[in-house]
Amino acid sequence: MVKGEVITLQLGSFSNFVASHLWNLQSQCFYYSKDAPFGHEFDHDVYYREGRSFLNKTTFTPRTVLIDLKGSVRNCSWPVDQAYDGPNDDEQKVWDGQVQIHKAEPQAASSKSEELGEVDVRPKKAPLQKNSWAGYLQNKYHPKSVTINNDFDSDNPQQPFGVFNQGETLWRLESENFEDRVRWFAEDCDHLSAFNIMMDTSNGFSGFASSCLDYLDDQFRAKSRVVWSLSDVPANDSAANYRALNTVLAYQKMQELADVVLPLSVSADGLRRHLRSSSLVALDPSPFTGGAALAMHVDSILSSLKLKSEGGCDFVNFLRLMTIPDRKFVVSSMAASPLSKDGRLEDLSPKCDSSKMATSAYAVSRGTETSHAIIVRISNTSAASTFHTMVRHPTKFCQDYFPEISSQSMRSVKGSQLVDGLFVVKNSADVVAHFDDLRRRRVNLGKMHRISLPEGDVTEAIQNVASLRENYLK
Amino acid sequence: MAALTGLNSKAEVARSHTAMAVNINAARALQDILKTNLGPKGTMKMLVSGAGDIKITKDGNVLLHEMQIQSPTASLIARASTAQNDITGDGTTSTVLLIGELLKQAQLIIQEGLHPRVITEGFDLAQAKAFEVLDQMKLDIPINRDTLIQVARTSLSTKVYNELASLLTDVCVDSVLTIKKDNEPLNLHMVEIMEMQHKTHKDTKLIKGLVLDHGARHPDMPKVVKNAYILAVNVSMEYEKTEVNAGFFYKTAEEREKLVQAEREFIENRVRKVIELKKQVCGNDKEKGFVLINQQGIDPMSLDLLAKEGIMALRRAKRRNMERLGLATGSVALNSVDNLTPDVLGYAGLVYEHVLGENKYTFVEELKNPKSVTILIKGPNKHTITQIKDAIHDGLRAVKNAIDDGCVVAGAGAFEIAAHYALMEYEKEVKGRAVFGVRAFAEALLIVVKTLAVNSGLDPQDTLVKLREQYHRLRPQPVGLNLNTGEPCDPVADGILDNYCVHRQLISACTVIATNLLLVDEIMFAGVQQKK
Ligand SMILES: Nc1ncnc2c1ncn2[C@@H]1O[C@H](COP(=O)(O)OP(=O)(O)OP(=O)(O)O)[C@@H](O)[C@H]1O
Ligand SMILES: [Mg+2]
Repeated sequence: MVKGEVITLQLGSFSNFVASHLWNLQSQCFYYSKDAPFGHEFDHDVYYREGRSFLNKTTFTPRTVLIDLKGSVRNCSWPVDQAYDGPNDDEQKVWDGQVQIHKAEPQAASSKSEELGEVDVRPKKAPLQKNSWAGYLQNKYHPKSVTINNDFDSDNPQQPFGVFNQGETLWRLESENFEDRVRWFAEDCDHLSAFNIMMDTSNGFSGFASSCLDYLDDQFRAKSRVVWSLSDVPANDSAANYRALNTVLAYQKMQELADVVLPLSVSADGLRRHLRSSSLVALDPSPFTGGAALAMHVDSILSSLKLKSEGGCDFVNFLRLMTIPDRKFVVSSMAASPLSKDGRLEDLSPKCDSSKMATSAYAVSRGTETSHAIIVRISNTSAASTFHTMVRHPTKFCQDYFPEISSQSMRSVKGSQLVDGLFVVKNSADVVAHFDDLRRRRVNLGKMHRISLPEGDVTEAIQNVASLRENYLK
Repeated sequence: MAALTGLNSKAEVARSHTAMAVNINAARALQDILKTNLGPKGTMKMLVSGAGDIKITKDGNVLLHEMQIQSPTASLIARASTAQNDITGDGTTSTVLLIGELLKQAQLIIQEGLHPRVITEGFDLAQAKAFEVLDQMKLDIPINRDTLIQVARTSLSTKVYNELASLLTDVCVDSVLTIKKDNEPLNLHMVEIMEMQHKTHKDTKLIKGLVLDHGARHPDMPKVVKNAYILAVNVSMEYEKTEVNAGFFYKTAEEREKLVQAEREFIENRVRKVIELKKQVCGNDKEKGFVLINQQGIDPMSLDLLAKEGIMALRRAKRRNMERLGLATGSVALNSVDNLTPDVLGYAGLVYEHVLGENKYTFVEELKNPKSVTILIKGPNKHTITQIKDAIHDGLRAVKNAIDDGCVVAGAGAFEIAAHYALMEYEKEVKGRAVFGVRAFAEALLIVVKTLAVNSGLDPQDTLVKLREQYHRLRPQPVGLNLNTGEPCDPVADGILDNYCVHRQLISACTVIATNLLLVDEIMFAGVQQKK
């Protein structure tokens, strides 16, 4: 069976952090020789496309379009495959007058051997740069994938990008360019089946992503839309009310235009800084580390939807299994040691604690087979409403990503850093706690000067969350 | 407000002075970075990141966008300057220079004890006078092709080397003149800008038609179509798995199969209607061709059907290209293929595909009266293409501005010299201390001429003296600076023409921002006092 192609969208800084980890995990399963250690179980063409660069090199890059802001690349090298750029010789200069060079401080300190004038012939392992998603992305993007907007700063405490309207403005500035890129990838597909949307829900990108959903609905009405609703960890708690409002506004759009929504957060509630009281507490709150944890879950779910075997699910089937009309928000949990203790499932959705019985569940076991009975028990569902699939290739746990985790628990990691895991998505009333938390936040527009939206729109969005909640209690 | 000023204690004035000093320093720091950019002898900036990535630009607007600006004052100025660019497409560098200079001149008088409020009153008077001068300087020449060429070349030669500027000048002027309709506002969106990687940028050119960045996705479709009927639609021609969205489940496998079949037939029907129209207009005439351009998708099975009939089909066309196709070929964009008639078709003498690496391009050319055209930018790499693209944007805006304004003004510093002269005369009429503000404004205007001189390796003071003397003799005839000789020149005779609206916007934006920056402390203190 031909699997339809999927286009990924990365809408926001944190989404880009998660996505860099995701693509790194995806590409560790590429085997170019005939015998792969776990067999050739994947159809990688679902998320990747084969291309040809200007220098006539064959490329294999994610079919993705991302947006971020000025400065987000920090001083990492430009995250685009250089094979797509032609020579930059003097012949082609467009200015014959003077040229002035402004150099930023170089990043890496010189190594001892360089100081001594010795030449190191071994290929140097680039130092892992964790302050930008471009700093650890292993394979670079296609040039059509990357848009960095220059009107807003990515990390300017004077002017944080923290409000829904800013995102809407960003869409107005970039929509023509952004749409053109999405269109380019879509035109390239023969059986485009779905959009895999990773978006920042609680910061200013919520406005961008909401406008983007409108665009997708307008131009790609019949294509399915899976939304990973991602919350970054804020620098402090002062903007919690803004974050709640951004989320509430985005949820209204998602309820209307997404097929399934998977909220994920590293912090306990997705709004404030404090982390979960479970073992994920071992993480530091940086987008790099938090992103790495969430990406393990996203990667495994996505991997299970590109299996070649007949028994596997594709994107469209996944939606059919997971969604119930009016109940599009589903919760996630995973067990992958050493990130979770004793094989217990860690909840990944804000405020959710897996206490309620789920109406349906989708589970992926990686590396080792887990029996259906066990899955049903630990994910708190019924046997009949649980879909369970197996991905033979284990996932990867990169030790140097998680320096906080004690060496004690690191013992479960094999030399190759491959680990087994269980990843679960459930449709359950657990999510009500999250909706209630959002509704508890006092939204006082009179005091929230940075937001400029008609009061009616805000009230309507808040009522929408209330009705979402009711849908799960029926 | 004036009363409050009187109440300010000495300490507050001192604090306000330091705050203002911070503002002025920030403005001048920005000025220092941008001043070498100005004019056709300015310096190109190459920004190299820590990791060795390069950005190259000579455009003040691009440079401001690339810089990471932390100081709130600097970012206020930067935003005003980029707004200048959004409104008129030009004058960013001059905005930064002029704001910096207005503040510098103001500072000199404030240090002597004058209150900022008095200076800004002078600025207002001077601004009104400068507008008067500008209106008098509107040149009495027709806005024809020759004039437009001169305006475009003046703008472009500040961005790219001469030979390339000439090439792009023709491209910009001809594209605007082609799409221009009588008695209708000019819509620059109808000039599509398309990039293509190519070994040399010298092949950048105007296509009097459309270039689409995609091609037919079927190996058997024709790659060249002559005498082509063009059908532009926004109708899905791909099988959709609608059941997910409908949210229902099938009871049996047969039922599912039946629905799938029905959906397939539904799509095929649409394709058949297109084929019928093709047969109707082309008959058995091998000389005639048919091209379908669809904004929605076309799946491989549908492509197959179309290919069998010799139809070239493009899918997922840009939304805006539907409108462009109408203007270029005369086609009518349709949202349904029911009741197709030949009169919705457009016509093109030649449609052909060009493949370059993984990119396909489709050229729609040989049109009867195209009101939409494409500028095809060629270049080997991202830098070159981006720089040419930015330059073309400037050139197109310059042409459009001249048409919209219905006039142009002399460049090469002529306006600044004339306005300076007029303000020095006007100063004699101004009563009270506002006169200091008027004088500061007049001095500040000269920064543009001085910087043009310095960037050309000339002595700014000598140059100014020569230009002012010459203007005194020849006024009201405009006098500008010949950057090659350092001598006064007649900008109109030399073909150095600027946009009227750029100068106007420049004066008003700079006055507003400089005024705000000078008064910001006073307003803040007023706020504090009210609270007490
Ligand atoms: N050939 C020329 N001789 C003298 N002066 C010129 C010539 N061409 C342009 N100028 C002057 O150069 C100035 C414009 O320079 P430039 O385009 O570099 O800066 P800008 O328009 O202020 O900013 P930017 O174009 O970067 O947004 C105008 O004052 C114009 O009159
Ligand atoms: Mg200019």
